[in-house]
Amino acid sequence: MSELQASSLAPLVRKLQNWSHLDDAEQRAVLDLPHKQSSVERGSYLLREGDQPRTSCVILSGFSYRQKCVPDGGMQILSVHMKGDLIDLETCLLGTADHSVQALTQMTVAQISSEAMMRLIADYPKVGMALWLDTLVDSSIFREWIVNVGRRSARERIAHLLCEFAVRLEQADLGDKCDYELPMTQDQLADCTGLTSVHVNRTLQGLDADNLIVRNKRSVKVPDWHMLADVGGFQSQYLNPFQKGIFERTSSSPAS
Amino acid sequence: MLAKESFEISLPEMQRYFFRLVDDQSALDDPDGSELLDANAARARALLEARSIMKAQVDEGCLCLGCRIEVDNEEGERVATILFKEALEISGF
Repeated sequence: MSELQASSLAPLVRKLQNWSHLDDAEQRAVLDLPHKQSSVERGSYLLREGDQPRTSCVILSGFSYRQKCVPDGGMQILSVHMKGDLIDLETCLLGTADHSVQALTQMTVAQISSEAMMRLIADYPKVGMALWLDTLVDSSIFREWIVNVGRRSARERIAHLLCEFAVRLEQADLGDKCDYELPMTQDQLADCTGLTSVHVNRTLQGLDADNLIVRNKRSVKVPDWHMLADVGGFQSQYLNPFQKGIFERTSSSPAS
Repeated sequence: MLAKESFEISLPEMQRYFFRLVDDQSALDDPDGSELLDANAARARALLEARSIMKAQVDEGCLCLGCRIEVDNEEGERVATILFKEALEISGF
């Protein structure tokens, strides 16, 4: 296993293992994907709307976000991504990017060609299934974000976002859900939640005043997880819907 | 293809402005600030911020027309002050 962890694509295997058990050969196939590693500066574009990329990117370190801009210059951040996430798997199939992806922090990414991804999926159906499940979890996250901007109050939106980010960090082994670093400015939180920067500041201060969070610069501590989750109407099930092994139950070749 | 040049960014030179929310009793400092083109853009942003906070206050059932947004540049100079009561036209009363 240490050999697997040493490979630069180990974060991808780790992520896919959240959704389904991959045997040694399947893990090896992912790790052996030909790829090119790159550093990306904070703020740089990994993908622009309208691009026709021939690669998919796996995040090896750092954070990125998907966004769309409106003509007046306003930006909506659509999702935030972290270590192990595939940023643009869909472009393998869709061809043209319908949104942009920017680096939230300094990042390292591995670029994998669309052809290599398609071959992997054809040769290892269980890896293909894991990738599919990964996109389904992504769409569950999008649904929550739609509810956030459409129906939740500012306080609920921020509480929900803080809870979701915390659970995802913990899933990726990047932090403790009750004590973590939030790599986003107020402006970026505003773009995630459809609020403005001062409104985000005021909302965070309200959560702070009620001891639902304790902030120090980017550090967020959650004294009582259930209280914060209640405020945000947050239930983590959508982030790990396969924990009861649904894939194994429906697979024709159960995990060894 | 994720070309090398797509990693590069070219933006006009931006300035950082800080938006402080002030009411009768307290002030809420802005630790991050926002990067904007110039003082005019900062003033326009402050107007949006004021209206956004007023919207939230209306939702909460308590509008504070005595609040204001103060905008400072990175040197700490005040570049704009937006009074809530001047950020919207009120009619019908």
